Amino acid sequence: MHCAADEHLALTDAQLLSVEKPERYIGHEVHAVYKDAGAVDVRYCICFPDVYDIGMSNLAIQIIYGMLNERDDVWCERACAPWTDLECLMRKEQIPLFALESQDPLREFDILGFTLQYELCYTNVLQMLDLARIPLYAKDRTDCDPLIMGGGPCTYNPEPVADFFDFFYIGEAETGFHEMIDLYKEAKRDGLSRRDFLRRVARMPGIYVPSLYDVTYHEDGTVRAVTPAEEGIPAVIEKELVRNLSDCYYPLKPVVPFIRVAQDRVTLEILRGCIRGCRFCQAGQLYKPFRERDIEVLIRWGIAMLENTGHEEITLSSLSSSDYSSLAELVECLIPYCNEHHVNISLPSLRIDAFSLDVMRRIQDIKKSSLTFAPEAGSQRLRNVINKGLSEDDILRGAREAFLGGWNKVKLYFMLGIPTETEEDLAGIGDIAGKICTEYFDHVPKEERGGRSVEVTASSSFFVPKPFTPFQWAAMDTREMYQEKVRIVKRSIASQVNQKRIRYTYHMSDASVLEGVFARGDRRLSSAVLSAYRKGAVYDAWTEHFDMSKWLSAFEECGIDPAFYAHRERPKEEVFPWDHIRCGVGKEYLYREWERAKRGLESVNCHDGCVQCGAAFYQTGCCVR
Amino acid sequence: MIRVRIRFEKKGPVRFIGHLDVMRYFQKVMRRAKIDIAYSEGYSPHQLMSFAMPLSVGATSDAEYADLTLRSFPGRTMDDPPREAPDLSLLIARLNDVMHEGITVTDACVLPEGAKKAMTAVCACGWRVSFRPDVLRNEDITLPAEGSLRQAFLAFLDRPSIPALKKTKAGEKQIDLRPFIYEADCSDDGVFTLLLKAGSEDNVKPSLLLGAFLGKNELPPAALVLHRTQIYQAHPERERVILPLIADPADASSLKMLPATV
Ligand code: SF4
Ligand code: SF4
Repeated sequence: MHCAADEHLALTDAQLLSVEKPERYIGHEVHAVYKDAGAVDVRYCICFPDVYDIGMSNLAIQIIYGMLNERDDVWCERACAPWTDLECLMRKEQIPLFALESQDPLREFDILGFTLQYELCYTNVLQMLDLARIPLYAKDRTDCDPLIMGGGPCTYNPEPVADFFDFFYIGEAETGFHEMIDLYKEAKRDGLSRRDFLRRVARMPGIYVPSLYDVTYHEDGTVRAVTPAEEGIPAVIEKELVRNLSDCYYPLKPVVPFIRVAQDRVTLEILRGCIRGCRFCQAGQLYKPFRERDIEVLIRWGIAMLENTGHEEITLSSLSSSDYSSLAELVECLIPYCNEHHVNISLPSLRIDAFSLDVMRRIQDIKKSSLTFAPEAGSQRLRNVINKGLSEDDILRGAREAFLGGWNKVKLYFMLGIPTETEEDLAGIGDIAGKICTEYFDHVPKEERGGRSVEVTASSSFFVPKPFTPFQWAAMDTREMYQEKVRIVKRSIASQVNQKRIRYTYHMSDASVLEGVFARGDRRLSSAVLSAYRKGAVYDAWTEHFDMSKWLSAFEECGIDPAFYAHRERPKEEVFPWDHIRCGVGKEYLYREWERAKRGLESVNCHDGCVQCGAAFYQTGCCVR
Repeated sequence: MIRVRIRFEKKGPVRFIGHLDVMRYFQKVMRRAKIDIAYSEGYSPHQLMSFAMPLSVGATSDAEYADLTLRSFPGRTMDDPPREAPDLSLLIARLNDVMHEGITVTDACVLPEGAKKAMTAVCACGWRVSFRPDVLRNEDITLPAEGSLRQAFLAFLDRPSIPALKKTKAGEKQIDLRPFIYEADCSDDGVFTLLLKAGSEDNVKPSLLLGAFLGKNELPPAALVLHRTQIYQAHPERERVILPLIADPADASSLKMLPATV
C-alpha cells in the first residue's frame, strides 16, 4: 500500500486552495484503489465528462471501477471534468489533466473510458481530451495516444460524437468488459498497432468502432446506409446484457467521497429494465428485458454496503420500483437493520397506491416528504398516446389516500410537446392539479389540517424524441411552440378555483432543443460539437454555463440545420443513423407502437402480456416467464 | 452513557478536506467501525459528536479533537456501571481499522462527569507555520531579506502593541494581538513556532498575526504552510497554566505556563 504522507498531488497546495472544493481533485476517498502502476499490464481510466459531484454519484462508474480493480493486471482510476475555475487555471499554468488516484496525466494511460450519460456532456468530452493533450479526432491519434472509448446510454446513438472516439462499448459492462481488456492486453503484448487492435476488438459483441463503418447519404441529407468498411466487421452491433443479475459483479465497497455528492448514499439496484412501454421513454426500451435481483442477494448486499461505507441512507434504485415482485418483503427485511443503525431508506420511482403509501409511511417523515406523480400528460387521451398506464382515477385516488394518511405536498411531472398534443390536453394539466386540491379540501376536515394546507407543484419539461422509442419518427416542437404551450398551461392553472395552492415550474427550452438535435443526430454533427467547443461551449448541462448562441453560430459555421434533426417528422422508410445498433427492440415493433400512439391506443405491459418487442432475443427476465 | 474524547492527526492529501466534510467523514467512520454512539432525540436524530475546532482547508495537524457520547464500549455494554476503566485501546483500534490513512486516532480518554465540551474548553493552539514565498509574490507582498527574517520577527514581537484588523461576523474590528501571543519564535530557515490564544472569543489565527508582521491584513489561506501542533485547555486548578485537551493535569511535562502579562 502507499503512504499518505509522501503522496504527491498533481496540483500544488496554492493551486488547490485557489479553487472551489479542492477535494474533487485529490482522490484518496475511502475505498479508492491504489496500485503500483509499474506492476499492472493495463492502466484504465474512467472519465466522467461532468464535475466530480455528479460523476461520483453514478452507479455504472462504481461498478466498472470495482470490477476492473478486482483484477491484478489492471489498475482502474477515475477522472472527472475539472470545474471551470480549475479548467481556467490548468490552461493558464499548462497543467495536463490527471487521474484522481495516481495523479498521473491521462496521456499515460492505455484506455480512457468515457461515460456518456446525457447529450449535453459532449463538449466536456472535448474539454477533457483537450486538457489531457490528446488529439480530439480519433483519426489524428497515433499509437502513442490512449484509446478513447465511450459507454453509457448515449452510445445507442453515438454518431454525433463518433469522430472523437476510437470505439464504443454498447450495453452493460459486466458481461464484456473483461474480454475487451484481455484482448487489449494481448494486443499490447504482441505490439499490435492501434488500427489492428481496433480491427480485432470490432469483432467482439457489443463493440462499435465507428471508423470501420462508412456512412452514405441521400441527396436530401438523410442517411442512405451505414456499412462495414472492411470484411469481417459485423453489420449490426447488439448490446451486451447481463442474463442473471443475482450472479454478477456488484460494488459492495463503493468509493465514499468526502464531499457531499449528488447521491450521498448506498445505491442498491433492485432490478434492470422496465415492464412498461411508455412511448416517450428511452430508458424503458434500452434496458429491456425487465430483470429482477433475488431478494436474498439484495438484503445481503444492502447491509454489506451500509457496513462498508457508513452511509446513512440506502436507496432502492430502479426505473420503476413498484414493479419489483417482492418489494414489501424487501423493505420489511431492511427496516429492522436500518432502524437500529439510524439509516434512512429511500424509494424513488414508486407508483402511488395504498401499498406504496404504507411503505413510505414506515420509512419517511410524512411532514417533510412530498408525493410524486408523473402523469406526464394532462388528458387521458394523451396519456393513452404515450401509453402511460395511469388514469386520472389512479392519481386522484392516490392523492386522496395520501392526504388521509397525513401528506399535504404533491409534485406532478408533465411533458409538453408530446406528439398529437392539443390545447385541450394542455389545459388538462391545470384541471388535474385543481382536482387534486379539491380532493384535499373535500376529504381532510379543517380540524385535521393542523394549520397546513395542500401544496401542489406542477413541473413541465420539454419532450425530446429519442432513438429506440416509438416517437423516434416524430417532430419535436420548436422553442416558440413550447413557449406558447407554457402560456396555455399557466392560463389553465390560473383558472382553477384553488390556483393559489398550485405552483407551476418549467424548464427553459434551448437546451432541450440541443438535446433533441444530438439525440437523433448523425456523424456530421461532430464538426459542430468541435466548433461550439472552440467557441467556448462547455458544461452545457449547467444552466449557468449553457449558451445557445455559441451553438447557433457553430451550426451555421458547419452548414448544419438543427431543425433537420430536431423538428422534422421522419417517414416510415427512413434509415436512421443508429439503425446498425441494436438494443433488442425491433424497428417494426417501434413503428407499430408509433401508429398505435397516433390512434391513441394503449398497449399491454410485459407483466400482462407480450407485444413482441424483440427483446426476447436475450432470452431472460420477463421474456421467459 | 459515557463521554469520550479522541485525538487524531490529519496529514497528507486529506488536509484538503474541509471541516464539515471531516465531520461527515467521522459520522461514517462511527458506522463503519460499529461504534455504539448515542443519537440525539427528535425528528432527525444525529450522532452526539462535536469537534474542538475547525482546521483550515490545506492545514495539517498532529492533534485534532472530537468528543463522542457512547452508549456502550466496544466489547461490553454500559448497562452496569463500569467497575474498571474501559479499554480505550480497543476503541482506538476499531476506529483506525476503518480510517483513512491520513487521519489516525492517536489517543483517547474518558471524560469525567460535567467536563466541558472540547469546543468550549479550547483556550490556545500551537502552530508550526512557514510562508509560501511564491504566493506572497503574486499578492505583491515582500518578505524581509533572507537571513533577517528571525531578527525582524523578534523585533516585531517586541512592540508593546500589535494592532490588527480582524474580520468578524459583525464586520471588521481593530484589536491588539500582543496579549494573545503566548509564545512565538522563528527558526533560521523560516519556520515559525507559535502558541496563540484560541476559542470562541479572541481567536487569533496565524494568518492574522503573520499578516500583521508583514504589514498587511489577514493573509490568504494559500500564503502559509500551516500545521497545528496542539490544542490546549486551561488547567483545572492552576492559573495561567494550560495543557492539551487530552493530558494528565498531574503530569508536569505536558503543562505550559502562560506569560505573566496574560
Ligand atoms: S415506467 Fe415508463 S417512464 Fe418509467 S422507466 Fe418504465 S417505460 Fe420509462
Ligand atoms: S419480448 Fe415481450 S416480454 Fe420481452 S420485453 Fe418485449 S414485450 Fe416484454
